[in-house]
Amino acid sequence: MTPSHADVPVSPLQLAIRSACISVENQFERRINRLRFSLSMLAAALAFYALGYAEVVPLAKAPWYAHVPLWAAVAAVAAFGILQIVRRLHDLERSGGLFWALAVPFWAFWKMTSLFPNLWYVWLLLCLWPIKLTLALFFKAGAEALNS
Amino acid sequence: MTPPAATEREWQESRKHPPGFRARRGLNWFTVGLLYAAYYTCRCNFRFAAPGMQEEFGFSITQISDIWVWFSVAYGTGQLVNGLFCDRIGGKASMLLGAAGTIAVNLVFGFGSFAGNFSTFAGLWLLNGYLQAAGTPGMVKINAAWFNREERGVFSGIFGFMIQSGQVAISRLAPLLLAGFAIAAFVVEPGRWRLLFIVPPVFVALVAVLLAVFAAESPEDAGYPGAIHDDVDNSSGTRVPVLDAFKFVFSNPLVWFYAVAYGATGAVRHSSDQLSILYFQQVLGFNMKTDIPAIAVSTLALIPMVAVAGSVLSGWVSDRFFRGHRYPVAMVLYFMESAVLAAAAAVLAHKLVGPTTGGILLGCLFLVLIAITANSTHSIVGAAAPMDIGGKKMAGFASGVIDSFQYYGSALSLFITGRVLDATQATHGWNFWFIIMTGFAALGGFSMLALLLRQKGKIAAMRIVVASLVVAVVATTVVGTSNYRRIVAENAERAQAASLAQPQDDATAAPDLPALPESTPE
Repeated sequence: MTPSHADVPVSPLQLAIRSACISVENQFERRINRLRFSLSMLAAALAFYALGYAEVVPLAKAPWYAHVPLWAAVAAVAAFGILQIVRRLHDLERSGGLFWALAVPFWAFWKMTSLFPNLWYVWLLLCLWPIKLTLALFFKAGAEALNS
Repeated sequence: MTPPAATEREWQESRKHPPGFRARRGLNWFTVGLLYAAYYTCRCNFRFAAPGMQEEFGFSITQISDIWVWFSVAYGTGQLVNGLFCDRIGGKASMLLGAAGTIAVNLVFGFGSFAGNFSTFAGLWLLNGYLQAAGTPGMVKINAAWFNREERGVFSGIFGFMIQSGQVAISRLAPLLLAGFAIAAFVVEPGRWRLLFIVPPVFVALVAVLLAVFAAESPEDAGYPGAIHDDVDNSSGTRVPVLDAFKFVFSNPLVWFYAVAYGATGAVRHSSDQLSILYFQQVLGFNMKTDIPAIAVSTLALIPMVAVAGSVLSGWVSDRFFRGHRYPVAMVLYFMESAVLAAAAAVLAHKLVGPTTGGILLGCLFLVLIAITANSTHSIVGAAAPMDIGGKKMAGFASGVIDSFQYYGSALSLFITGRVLDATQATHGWNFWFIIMTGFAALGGFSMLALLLRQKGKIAAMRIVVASLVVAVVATTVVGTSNYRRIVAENAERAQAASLAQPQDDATAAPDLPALPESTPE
């Protein structure tokens, strides 16, 4: 390792950001077992369904600003879901970064095949590995005591 | 495929960081990357304005290409100059200055183009090119300080993602603006291309404020001293005198191999990006002025997404299996790219691409495949390699030199393509678009092959590759120029013959016209 940057004063704002980052990272470092993960995912799915229903039925004709709290709620539920996936990946002794390996193919290949709906099986083929990983998240025993 | 033990150890070491560091780096990357993405909305807006400008001002493909040529020349030169200054003033200041400049120029382009002619547009876009060139060195310099060598390949994929998200943003925004809209009593008619230069600068301004508040120049500034290892000695700080950066980078042979290859990347990437809208309109028969079809919008949005997947994967492979060496992966990608382009040229020559379902599918598929390969090389050669060469200290200028070649390559490619397409479009359609890009992609592949041989100590073999490359480039230039002149002369003769034949045709085609006085019988 080479000597690094000369000492520089760190601003109070940067110190506050560092503290916030440490607390966020601690949240992601934890682990959950498959049962808690499945229940969390079920809760997230129900919350998404309820929010989607609110978007298309009661708020269908509301002005755009009335949807803003709903969008914030969607973002919060998405963040909760991502957190659970990362914790469960840790429980399986895998990197949390694999979340992207799940999300990107599902979404990107779906975009591709939605252009040509007759090619749905191409999506299935391209997403074989993410599908396998998803099944592992729900069913494979991890390091937590309840898994075994 | 199992990496050697030393590679595995370095890989594991590079991934150990103090608490909160990864989240802090993510936030830093997000703001820096978002501003870089926003830069792209103020650059790629031009291609969506091209059909409208063609209609309003009667510009030819050559003139549209030339406006981008001026941009590219200014951008390339700006990279050299701004890269040097970036190492002096810091990456954050460099990015903020560039953002302020590009906002101003885009607004002038949007509001001032009512009195426009070719020189006005070319001049303004040239200025925009120079100002946008402050972005890459700034971004690369900041991120060189935040990533270890073995992490930079994946980072370069993320860099690609940010670029592409800027392209997706403008690909989504432009059709909305061009389709026309109404907000209360304010009604915008369809086809108002000037809005493309007025709305995106607003986004750049918002993101620049975020960067100013949240981004830190280096981990040390954010309270993480010594978190990142660097191959370059930074004991005297990470800002260096201009002359030192100049000497260090220009005397490094690696820079020049990467620069030539990156020129090839630019030639393909910008040619396929900037002319794709005209290709959609003229080859696939889409209406790209006011009513852009869903398949075109989806392809333009899909291209960046699959390109990102390719960028991240190639970056990860170079980190994981080649100890952060980029050239072996880049070489394979360049040769794959030339194969795809050659196949596209062959398919187009057999008239399999056109305004039919199968033709549109093939036409869009080739654009997607080209984007994957071109953007993968763009990420690992343009973002990762300069950081490896320059370290925290001189990444700005190393990136500036290498990236400048991307834009010189782009200028050269578009200069040639615009003229060749104007000359050959009537007889060969858009075939030469792919053929020209194939040549550039092969140039990139051989340049990386030469670097591979040099790094393996096979100097004689490297010299043979370089000499063959020079001979091939000179021969192609001589033969191509001579053929181009012949075709232009033939076209001129044909046009002259057609204009001479026109009055006779008119006379025979219109028997009810009054006869000329001298031919009237007495």
